[in-house]
Amino acid sequence: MAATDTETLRGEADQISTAADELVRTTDQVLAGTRLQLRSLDDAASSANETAASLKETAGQVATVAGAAEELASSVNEMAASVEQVTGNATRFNTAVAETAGTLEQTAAAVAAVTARAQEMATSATELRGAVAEMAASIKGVSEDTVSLAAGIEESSTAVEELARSVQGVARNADDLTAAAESTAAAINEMAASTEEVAATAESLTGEVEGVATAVEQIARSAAGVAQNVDRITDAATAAASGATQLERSIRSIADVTRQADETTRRVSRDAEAGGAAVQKSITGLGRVRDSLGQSAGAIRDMGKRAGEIGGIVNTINLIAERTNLLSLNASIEAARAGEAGRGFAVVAEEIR
Amino acid sequence: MDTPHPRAAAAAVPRIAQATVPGSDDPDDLFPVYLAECEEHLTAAGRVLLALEPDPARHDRGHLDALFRNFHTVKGLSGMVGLREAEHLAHALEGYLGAVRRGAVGLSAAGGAALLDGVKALEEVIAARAEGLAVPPVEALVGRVAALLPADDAAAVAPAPPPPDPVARADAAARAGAAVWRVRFAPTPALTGRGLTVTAVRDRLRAAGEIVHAEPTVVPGGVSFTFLVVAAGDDFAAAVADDGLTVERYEPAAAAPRAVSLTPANLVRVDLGRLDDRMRTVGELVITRARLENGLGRAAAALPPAEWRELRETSRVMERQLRDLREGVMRVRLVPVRDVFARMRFVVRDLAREAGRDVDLVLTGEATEVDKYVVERLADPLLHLIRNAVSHGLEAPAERVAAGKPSRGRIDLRAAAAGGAVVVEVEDDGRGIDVEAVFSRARAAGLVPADAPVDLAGVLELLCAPGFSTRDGADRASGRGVGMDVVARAVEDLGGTLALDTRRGRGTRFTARLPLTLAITDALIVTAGGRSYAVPQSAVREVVAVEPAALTAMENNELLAHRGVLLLVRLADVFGLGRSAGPVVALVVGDGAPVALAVDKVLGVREVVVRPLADPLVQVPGVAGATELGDGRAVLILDTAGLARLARTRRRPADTPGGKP
Amino acid sequence: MSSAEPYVLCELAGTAYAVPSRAVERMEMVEQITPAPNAPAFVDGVVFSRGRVVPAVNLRLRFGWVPYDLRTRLVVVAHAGRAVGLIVDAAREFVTIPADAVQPPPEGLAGTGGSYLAGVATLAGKVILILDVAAVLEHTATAAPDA
Repeated sequence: MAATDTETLRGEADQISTAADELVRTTDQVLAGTRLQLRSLDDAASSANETAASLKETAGQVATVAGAAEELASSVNEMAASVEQVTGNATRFNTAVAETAGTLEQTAAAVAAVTARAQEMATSATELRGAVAEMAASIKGVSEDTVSLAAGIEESSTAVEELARSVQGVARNADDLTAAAESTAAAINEMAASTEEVAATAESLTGEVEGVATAVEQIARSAAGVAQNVDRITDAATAAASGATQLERSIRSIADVTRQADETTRRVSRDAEAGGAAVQKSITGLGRVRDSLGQSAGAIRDMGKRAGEIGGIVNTINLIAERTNLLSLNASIEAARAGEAGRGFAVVAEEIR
Repeated sequence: MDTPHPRAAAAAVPRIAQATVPGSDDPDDLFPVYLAECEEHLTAAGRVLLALEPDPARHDRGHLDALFRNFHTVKGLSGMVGLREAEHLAHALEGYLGAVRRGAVGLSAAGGAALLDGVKALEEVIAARAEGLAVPPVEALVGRVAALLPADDAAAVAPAPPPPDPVARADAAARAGAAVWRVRFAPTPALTGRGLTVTAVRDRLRAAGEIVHAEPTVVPGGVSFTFLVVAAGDDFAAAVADDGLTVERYEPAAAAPRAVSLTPANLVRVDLGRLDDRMRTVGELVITRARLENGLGRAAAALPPAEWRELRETSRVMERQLRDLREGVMRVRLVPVRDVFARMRFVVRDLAREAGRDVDLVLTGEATEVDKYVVERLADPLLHLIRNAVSHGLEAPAERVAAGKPSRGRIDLRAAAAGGAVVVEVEDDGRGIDVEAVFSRARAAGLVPADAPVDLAGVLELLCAPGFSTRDGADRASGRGVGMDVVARAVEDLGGTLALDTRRGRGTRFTARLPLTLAITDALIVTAGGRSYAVPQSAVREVVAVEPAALTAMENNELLAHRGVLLLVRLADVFGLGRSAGPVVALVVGDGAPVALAVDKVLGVREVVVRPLADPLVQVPGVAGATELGDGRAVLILDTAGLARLARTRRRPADTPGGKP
Repeated sequence: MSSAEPYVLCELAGTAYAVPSRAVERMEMVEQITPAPNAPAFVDGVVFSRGRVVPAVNLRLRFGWVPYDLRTRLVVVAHAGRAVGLIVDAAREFVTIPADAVQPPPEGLAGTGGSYLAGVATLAGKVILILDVAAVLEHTATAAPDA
């Protein structure tokens, strides 16, 4: 029993020591595994730290970019604001220049119109002179008619004289008849009758004479009227002549006004050239820049919001730079064109002279 | 004897200054100049007189001269414009000053007062006339001035009050409805011999009416008497008639109209360029509003719903208002076609005479209003069509009668508004177009393949092909003419379509359909080959969804069964884009012979502003213009007629070299 | 008084060109060019510039087409009522060139490219070719330029 016991014991002891060995090995393994785990944990910890760090960095960068975008936006706004200020201050001048330009245009237009009118008036003055000459001719015509009228009157008066003579003759005959009638009674009736006839004829003749006299009267009156006509025509001619003188004076005064106008034009354009033109250009250019900057500020803010796309930021900044450059280029082109236009105006001012 | 009417004197004076004072439209209107001049003179005179008022005796020669000139000028000018009261008064004042200058009388306080009152009165009189009011009487003042003068001067200054103007009496009588006659009598010994003397005439006239005016006039060889008689009865002429008398009806001189411009003050001439600018601005407003609408859509999430709805409502209201504004501006540009049509009358008359035809031109719808731009460009095409109709469409009268038609040919020119378009028709009742002959000629010339179907749309295209007509000259037998390609191009340029209907022996009708507006139109937005295009809605008759199975292939063509059979044209093919395999959407386009234009999708209908493709580099067939849908990108607007034509004549554009993406 | 004219400096295939400022309507970025079907090969398409439809012309044909990038610009030039956009690789400078720095283009320039030139200038040692806008527009009326 002892040997078996001992062998059993040894076997058990062997088993136990094997188990113990295994235990040790397992423990070693566990230990190793734990150590590995620890190391992985460490690694994890450190990478977590790194991640945290890079996240922080990224966050920091994002914040920086966002901040930068904000700054950019606000500085753009500031720029826009100061541009506005400048523009505002200069707007008054701008308005004044614009007004002046407008007035100049109006003046130029008015001068042109006046010049045209003056030309027309000069033409009409010539016409007027011609018409006055015509009038003089017709006055002569009227006086000629007056002469024939006088002749007509003379003729009529001759006819009247003849009539008077005939009446006288008739009256004498009537007397003779009356004398002869006294001889016979039978003839008295006849004579009475013929006397009546004669008397009636004489009456009607007298009526005729009256009629003619009336006519002559009328003629005389119309002759007077014609004479008055002549007066009126003469008056009208005088008035016309004075009108023509007026005309000349008006034309001359228009020339004065024209001269004054273009002197003023020249002076103002000189002033404009001196100071205004340059400011004008800047204002126009600034105005456009201001507008575009306003748009860009909005666009920039939009872009800033999307700053999460880190890769796109470089592109965005480039885009902003490109756009800004484009704006300034276009502004320069416009300014150069305005400058040319300004030169053109000066040429026109020269021509007005 | 009365003073002759100043109008007579004015008529003898030619127009002086043609200077227009702002406010006067009539360059012949002296009145504004008169006003200006008188104002100057009267102001000057007033100033001098006021300065002299405290002590009139302190005047000097210069003052007198100046005053005299002032009144003298006012007198003369007043005479010229026919303002008698002013002339009269100025004459009196001038006379007084003349007497003072001469030393005949001194410048008393009463005189100075009279002169000042005279200036005021003159201003009143002139102002009254300027405003068209009754002129205040001046006799009292004239009397006052006359009283200041020694006797004979007074007489010259103030002649007896102007006797009533007999001519005015006759005028008044005539206007009151009485019959006024003018009787002229020139006494001669012969007339006197038979008893016609002045007295006899006078008696006769007195028996028949009332003599209001008798005037002897000097005539060559003697005197003539003119009587104005207001007839007592209707038989005046018969009662007084005699060989020695000239009896004629007297008409009162038409009242000289006050030279105030009568152009309607509520009309304005507008420069066409400015209207175009306004249209452009409206177009831009439309786009801006579309952008606003887009922005609103995006902002929906960020705004409280009530506010957002309000904003959207405002945007909708704006859309309506813009539509009204657009139509209003368009309407300003609308003019009736009347003038263009009327011009055709002359054309027809001349052509008919030349060609030996009898032609009736019947115009209908002349009041139809069309955009001014269109009206101006309509004249040429109409001219061509009418010329063709007269010279080639209508037969000679004999031929017509033989055919049982009236010998007078008839051409109808019609215009009517139909929806957003104007339809203009030129129709004749002549011999019609010989379609067969046209096609055989076209086949002979190689313009169409031998098996091409003979139909009306084809005929129209052949007629309009440049070079087709000119090649064969004017051939009466086939009823064609020249210039059809001009007509087609003109109608196309105007964004319109041309259609033809003809019947042998019965006549021909050309129908032009022109859009009422060139600038803004509704368009279908479609995609084809991955790109977007805009198709004017007015050009699309129908939109049909097409399954590939529903298409029938025939040689190189595809046919669609829809209201008959339609040729299917793929936009992608015409433009050299990639063809898609799936179902397509077909837009039925084309007036005369419809064609189904296949696109990939229809995205919707949008109001678009049509921008022309101005540069010849990009004027390609099938493209009518470009527009922008709100994102700044250009979208091409299709020319459906051009596309249909491309398809029908089966001309495919060469593939573009160096394929661009 | 020696005159100096303003120009817009452009870069095309590595060469510097100057376009007279008075012929330039506007400069645009090249964002989206809408192709025009069946247009000549050197017309890349159309764009909107100031509300007008303008053809975009690519003069790079001989050097091969390169994709557009941020720097690509459209120089919208106008002459005799026509407005055409020229696509260039870059255009960032606005310079003034004095008249005495400009010489006529050298004789015997190979290729029709020379017919587009109004002159040559040197600016800070660099050779700048001055574009004759009218000639460019004429040559691009219908046929493809040989340049």
